[in-house]
Amino acid sequence: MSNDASVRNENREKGFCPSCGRYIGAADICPYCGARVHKRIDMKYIKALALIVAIVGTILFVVGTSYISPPSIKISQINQQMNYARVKLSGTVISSSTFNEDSESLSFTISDGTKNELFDIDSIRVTVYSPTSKELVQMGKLPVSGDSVEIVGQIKIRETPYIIVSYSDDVIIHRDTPQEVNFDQIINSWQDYLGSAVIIDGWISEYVDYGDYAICSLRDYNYPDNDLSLYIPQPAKTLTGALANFFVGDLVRVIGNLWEYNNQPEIVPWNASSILIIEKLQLWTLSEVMSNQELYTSQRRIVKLNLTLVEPPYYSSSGAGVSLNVSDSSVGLTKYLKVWIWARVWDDIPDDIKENITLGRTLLVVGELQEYAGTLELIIDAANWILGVY
Amino acid sequence: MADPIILLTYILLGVIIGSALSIIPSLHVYNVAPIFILLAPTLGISDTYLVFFLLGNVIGYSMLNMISTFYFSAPDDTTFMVLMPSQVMLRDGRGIEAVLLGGLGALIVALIFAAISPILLIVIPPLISIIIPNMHWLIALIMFYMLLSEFPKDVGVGKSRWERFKAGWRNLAAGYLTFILAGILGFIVMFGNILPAEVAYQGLMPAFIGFFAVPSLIMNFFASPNIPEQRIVKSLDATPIDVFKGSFAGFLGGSFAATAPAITGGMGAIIVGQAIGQREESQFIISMGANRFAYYVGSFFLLFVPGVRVVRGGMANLAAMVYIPGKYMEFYVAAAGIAIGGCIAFIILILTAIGIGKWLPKIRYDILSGVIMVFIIALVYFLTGIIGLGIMIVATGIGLLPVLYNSRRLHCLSAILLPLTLSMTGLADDFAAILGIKI
Repeated sequence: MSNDASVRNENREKGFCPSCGRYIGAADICPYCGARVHKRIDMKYIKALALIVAIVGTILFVVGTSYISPPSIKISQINQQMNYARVKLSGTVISSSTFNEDSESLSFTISDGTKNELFDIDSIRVTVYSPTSKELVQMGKLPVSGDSVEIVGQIKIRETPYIIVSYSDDVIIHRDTPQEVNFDQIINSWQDYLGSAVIIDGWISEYVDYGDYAICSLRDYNYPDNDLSLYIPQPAKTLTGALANFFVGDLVRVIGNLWEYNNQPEIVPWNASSILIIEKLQLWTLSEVMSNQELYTSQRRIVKLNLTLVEPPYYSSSGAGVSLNVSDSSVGLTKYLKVWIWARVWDDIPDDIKENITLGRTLLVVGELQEYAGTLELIIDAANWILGVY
Repeated sequence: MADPIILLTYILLGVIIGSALSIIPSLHVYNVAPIFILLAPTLGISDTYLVFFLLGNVIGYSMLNMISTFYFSAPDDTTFMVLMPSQVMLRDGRGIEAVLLGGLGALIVALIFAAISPILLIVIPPLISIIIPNMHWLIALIMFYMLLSEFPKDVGVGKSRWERFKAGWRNLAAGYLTFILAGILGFIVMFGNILPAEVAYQGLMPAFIGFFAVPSLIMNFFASPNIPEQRIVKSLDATPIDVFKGSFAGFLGGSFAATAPAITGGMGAIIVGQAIGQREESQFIISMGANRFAYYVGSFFLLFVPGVRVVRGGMANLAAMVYIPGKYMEFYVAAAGIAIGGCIAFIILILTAIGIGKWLPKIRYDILSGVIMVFIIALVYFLTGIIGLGIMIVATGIGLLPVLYNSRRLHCLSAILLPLTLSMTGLADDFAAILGIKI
């Protein structure tokens, strides 16, 4: 404060007019010059008030916060003003959890059936960073497609909104007790089971490993043309322990959500222990296969056979593939089975195995029985269906 | 692809409009930007043009807000330290000169940004990758620096031991109490869902207005200073060394704050100022202007660096909601816009500083402060509702402590530092448990 102001203050306190300096006692207006004599509040009251407001106010906010829970919102309600808002969102997972090893982050996508016109979205990505992401992995709390979830997180908007979850308690997965279903129910009314937890048995008819996830097909031999897609997401494949060591032809039980992909039904197992092997594919003989040719070809049955090449491999002139004439001891090497390997599959076979596929060698193979122009054929649909060459 | 000339035009338009709005005391560009974002679709302004317009706003604000800070004592978190020297200059009739010194620092930084923009493309990506994994202990170090740099203090004077003890520790205790209360309030605002979801984007705005702007206005109201006639200067009292040192310090401090998350311009200024031993008054004011420009414009400019997607500062966070620039053309147009816009803003600053400076002796500061206070209360209520107003009131109490007990207003910045440090170190949950709240 300047010296003038201090002098004026002093004058006021002593009962002198701050303008003309005459003594005016306790008057509010100087009777001589008309100046107003402002009554000033003592700073010690302001100090005390500031201290009280600061301490009591902070305590009240602390207490008040304990009664506040995040508001529940819909995706359609999100707007730019909600950037950084902590909210609760309930919905269905439409894209299974994926864990990025480099950033140690976990992501999945949920939808609640509403559409946000502002951002033109009907789903929202949920991201979890380390260490919470690693906690969720350890807890096995990893949502997969079809799961009903409740999440609490902070909205972040970067051109499009997403949600960051910071605590493992803020991810709640609701899974009902799974109900047993069969292929007949799935074929006729899978939409009724969409999003439901189911148990279904079937034979693996296809298995493609993509590293962090795998795509398989499940078959019921009563409905060979209605294979059910089995999508094994990262949580089941690599994040929650070892997946059962099943292969094509094995009979398995899958516990998971019935979901959809490209308007077709799909089973999504919850975790590694959601796929159980009921029966491994046993070794068959050619005589068994030939005795039930009509049945097995209609079923597109998958079998495992030990077969000896009775002729050199034949490369089709059209380049469509390679055929092998094979037999086994159950038919005294007198009856032959044609093994067909598509060109794309033949190209995938490692060279050291291809070189050994020669006359007289024995192949341990898995294949699908089909009939082509009245002839029984064993179709090898992937390079890893050739289990060994002796 | 957008036409560079049109993008530049939007920057300059933003500078003019931003400059006009920035003169209003306590009106922050971060409060106005959301309104522009909401209005843009209605006005047919595409997201790309909007982001460049906002860049112009920031340029205008960084330059012209010195008017309200220096003349009307309504600082924000980057200028609260310059209040004392600028108030002294104002009362000596050198207010216009003070504003121009600050503006000079800002102008130099604008030209520096344009000149070094190609180098930024090479330097920024590795710099960010170094800073990000180390942020938590960097912020913690800054907090310790804030607390420990309070020492040494004057010895207490009094007749009894108790009086001497009280006198010796009064300022320190007030500073540490400010730090603790501001940190708790910031933690609650950031993590405690205290603000309704619909206004969450305002974040700590009501708290920061309470920490910095309102206490200054309250003190103005009670002090009711008489401002003498302001001299229109034809030269500035600063040597080339002062200009160089001040601009260099301000650029460093502001750029550091712009690059590192959670660190505001004020903190950057203090750290660098102490690091290079700043003493001269003119150097200090030039560095504050430079620091402010480097912090606000620099942090937003990072958004334009292609390939790295760095979002720093309030304006970048707001702009990133609509569009994140990614092209080299956009980066260079932004650099050119900063230089040209900075020059235009400086010219506007000169005219405005002189124009308003002439009227300062006639202004009743107590009435003006009262009017600004009413405006602020209305703004906070309009933007954040009754809860935001409550936050502002409590923050005002906290912000008054350093002013009334002669400790450092810097401690109010623990409202950002403490919650972020706790979050980055994974201790936020434990701290919430200590407070008895669930976050």
